[in-house]
Amino acid sequence: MTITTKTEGTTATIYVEGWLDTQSSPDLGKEVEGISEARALVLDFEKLEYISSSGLREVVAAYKKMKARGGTFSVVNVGSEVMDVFRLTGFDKKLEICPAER
Amino acid sequence: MEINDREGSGSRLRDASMGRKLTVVFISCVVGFGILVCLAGYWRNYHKEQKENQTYLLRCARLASEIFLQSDVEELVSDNSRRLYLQCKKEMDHIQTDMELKYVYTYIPEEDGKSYTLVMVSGKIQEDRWKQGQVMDETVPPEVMDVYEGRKESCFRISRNRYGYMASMFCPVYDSDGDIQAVTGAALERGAIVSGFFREIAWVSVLILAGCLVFFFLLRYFSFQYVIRPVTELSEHMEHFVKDREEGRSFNQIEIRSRDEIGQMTAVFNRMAGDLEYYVKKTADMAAAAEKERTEMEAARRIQKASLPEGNDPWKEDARFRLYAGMQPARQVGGDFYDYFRVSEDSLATVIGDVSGKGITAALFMMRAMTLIRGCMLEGKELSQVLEQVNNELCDRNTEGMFVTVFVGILNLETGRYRYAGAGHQPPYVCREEFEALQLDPGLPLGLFEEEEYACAEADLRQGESIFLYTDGVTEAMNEEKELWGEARMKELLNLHKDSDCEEIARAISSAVAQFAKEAKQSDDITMLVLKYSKEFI
Repeated sequence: MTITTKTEGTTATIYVEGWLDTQSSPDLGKEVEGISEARALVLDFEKLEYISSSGLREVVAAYKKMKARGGTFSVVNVGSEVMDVFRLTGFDKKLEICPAER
Repeated sequence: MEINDREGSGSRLRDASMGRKLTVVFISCVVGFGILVCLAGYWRNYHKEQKENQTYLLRCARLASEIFLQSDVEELVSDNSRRLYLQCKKEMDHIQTDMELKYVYTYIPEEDGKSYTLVMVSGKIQEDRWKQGQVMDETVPPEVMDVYEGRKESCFRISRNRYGYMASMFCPVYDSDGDIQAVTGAALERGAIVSGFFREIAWVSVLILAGCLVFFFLLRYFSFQYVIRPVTELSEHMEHFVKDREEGRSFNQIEIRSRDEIGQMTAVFNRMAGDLEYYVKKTADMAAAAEKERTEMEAARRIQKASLPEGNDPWKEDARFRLYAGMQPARQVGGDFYDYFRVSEDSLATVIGDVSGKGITAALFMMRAMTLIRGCMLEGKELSQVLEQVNNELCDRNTEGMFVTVFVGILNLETGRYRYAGAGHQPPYVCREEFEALQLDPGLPLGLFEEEEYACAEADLRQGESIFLYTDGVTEAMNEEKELWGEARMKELLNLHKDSDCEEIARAISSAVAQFAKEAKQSDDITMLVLKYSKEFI
């Protein structure tokens, strides 16, 4: 898994590539931990192939963190397979999750 | 040699004796050196001696040739001047004896060099053959002819012939006019010279060899004292160290006796042995701790497994349904669970869930979730309420941000009505004509957000229809190429087995998953619950 972060003004975007599973999820957690200034956090899942329950946990943790700070949180460019997981777990209704445009 | 083979086990080590090797090297060096010195001495002395002999012989030959300076040699050959001849002969004899020569002689070579006429001979020789005026049919050596004919002032020859092994020097004999009238030779016996020379060389050689031997023994003594013995001692200590380790004794530091390389080596070994001992102990402790942890994990897994109900048809006497449930845990303690129990005489509860993450935290969270769900359902609450209440309970004090996906359902055994609700869990498959996913309002997993609301739904099961509950360990089983098994494969297989009994369905799925994964390690728990409804089971 590869994680890249770009910050523009008050918006931080984290690009996640590959597999977000039990082994790699803590890395995303650390990355989110490192973003303390941003008012808006965007997770770009364009190149994410798989997300496990540990990955979902990190997503929720990031959401809660931003919410607690009064910031905004969104997940964008979600591929269809990962989107299925979000739909299955009802995350798409609770969090701002945008599927990738076909 | 020096090293006694005190213990059989060490013999292999000691066979490679440094002492023996050093001795061989020393002896080779000493012998080689001695031979070299002798050869050098021989070569140098041989030439020196040769040169000295030549000078000596030249002086003798010149002296002898001067005898005839005032005489006419031709006349001496004839008997005419007997008195003069005797006078000359006397002088020549003097030279021969005084100078310790073997022979001194004078002759006149023929022009063609094939013979010569003897003029005078001094030295022990058969007088009858060697006499004044005798013409000898012996070839005159060319270098002597060179002297006779004035091309050379003298010549030195080494010859071995019937007169013996000789070193001779030839000089011309001049007359009063300065013309050459004959040649004079002075000869030393070569054998005597050589043997004398060799005797000398032999003495020198013996002395040198003796010196070398003394040097060798000194060198050997000191090398043994200061190098080999300490090294041997150190190697013995090392051996003991290995043995002590095997027998569990602790290591005694080796005494350091010198500050040279061996001393340093000893110090390093002491430190290394100490470190090694420390690490061995540490590794053993760690292994023990890991073992303890493993045992505890095992126990946790057993407890977890024991908390799940027995898998196979617990109520065989009840003809209205058949049920099979099973969990194949991944290597670690996992977070999957299933549960079933009777809420009342006519209603059967089925639960399946999957806690995020693995390990002890997941297992503890799973136990908590499972207990809460069972408790709430037994209270007879509506399923949506059950999920809402359990969710709020789990959100409370959820420091680790854990969550659990859950599917709960209650089958009315009389009517076949199945009421169900889900919290972020995969919809189960229900078999009507074919297996298909149950319509399910997703709902968020439990433990994430407080005060969530969950929806309830229901389906009617007819005779022989079944429901298949599973966790993502089934559909997300991976092979070595990281391919997922997937719902499509599962659905196909379920339809293939739709007429089989509950256990057969579960086993077919689990063996297909195992076949798909092949060598790939099972990464997630695989959990299934199959429920078949009928009024006709006996």
